[in-house]
Amino acid sequence: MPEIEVAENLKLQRKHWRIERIGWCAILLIVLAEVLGAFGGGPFSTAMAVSPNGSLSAEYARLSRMTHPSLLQVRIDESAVRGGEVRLWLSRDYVDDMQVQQVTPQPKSIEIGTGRLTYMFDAAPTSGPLRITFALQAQRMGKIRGAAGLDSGRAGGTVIRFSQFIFP
Amino acid sequence: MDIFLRALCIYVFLLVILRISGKRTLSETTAFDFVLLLIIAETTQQALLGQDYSITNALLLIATLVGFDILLSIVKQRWKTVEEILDGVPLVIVEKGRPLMERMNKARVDVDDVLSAAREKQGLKRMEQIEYAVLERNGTISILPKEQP
Repeated sequence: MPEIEVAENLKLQRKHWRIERIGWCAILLIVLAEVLGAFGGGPFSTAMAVSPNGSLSAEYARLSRMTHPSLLQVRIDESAVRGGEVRLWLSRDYVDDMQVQQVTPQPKSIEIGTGRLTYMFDAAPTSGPLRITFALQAQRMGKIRGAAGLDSGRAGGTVIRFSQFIFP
Repeated sequence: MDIFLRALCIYVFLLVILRISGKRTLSETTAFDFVLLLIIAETTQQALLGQDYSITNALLLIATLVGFDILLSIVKQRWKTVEEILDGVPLVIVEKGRPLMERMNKARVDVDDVLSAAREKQGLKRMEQIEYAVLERNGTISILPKEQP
């Protein structure tokens, strides 16, 4: 029995210390997960979607966060250029969910279609792949599915699908 | 990865810069120091959040910074030299009633600060009543009065 008047509770104190140590491990795991890109924004959280015929590919952030700027880098084979222009469509739902902040380069025009938006770009004759960058910002959290493709007038044109997960 | 790097950068930088600014900076609560800390806090927030206002970003930043703090406290406990470097060492500034002026000048503490601490902590009236005064690691001055005969 201690001789001073102190409201000590050693059993509870030891429990506190145990919980503290467990909490520390939890923090360590969370930080480790973040370093490995589990919450988006790291070097391991981007992925590539490639169309079956290889003429269209896109690099996107598999994991991202709300209000965090996200990039969709689309690469188009020069064979997709028809009559000096490129027509790239994005699914409407995707554009609604991932608000497009900026398109580099600026599209010549945008056409509304059923369930998709088609961006038209002027293209100079080149001998290499063309790149279009969409700067996006997630508008809701959770799983967001998107699709993009080339409007080359051929039936069953090139289509790619991707899905991203957005943290709150 | 980016959250970890940002948090690490800011944490280390603030640690170093506040450490080299001298002991008194953190313990005083004059209006000047208070304003300085406020401005530092605002600037830090901007740098840490950037354009990312998600809850995930905030929670991860907080967890990472707290993690650094816990890690540092464990390291300091294990290795005393690290503790001395990071936290500083206590310094005797008044010995047997005589202020050690060279030390006080270097530490940017003057006699008035010592007397003020003596009044606050021990209710002492004059320098002769102070046996020892120590500038502690956290910047406060602790007073050991002369024993009453």
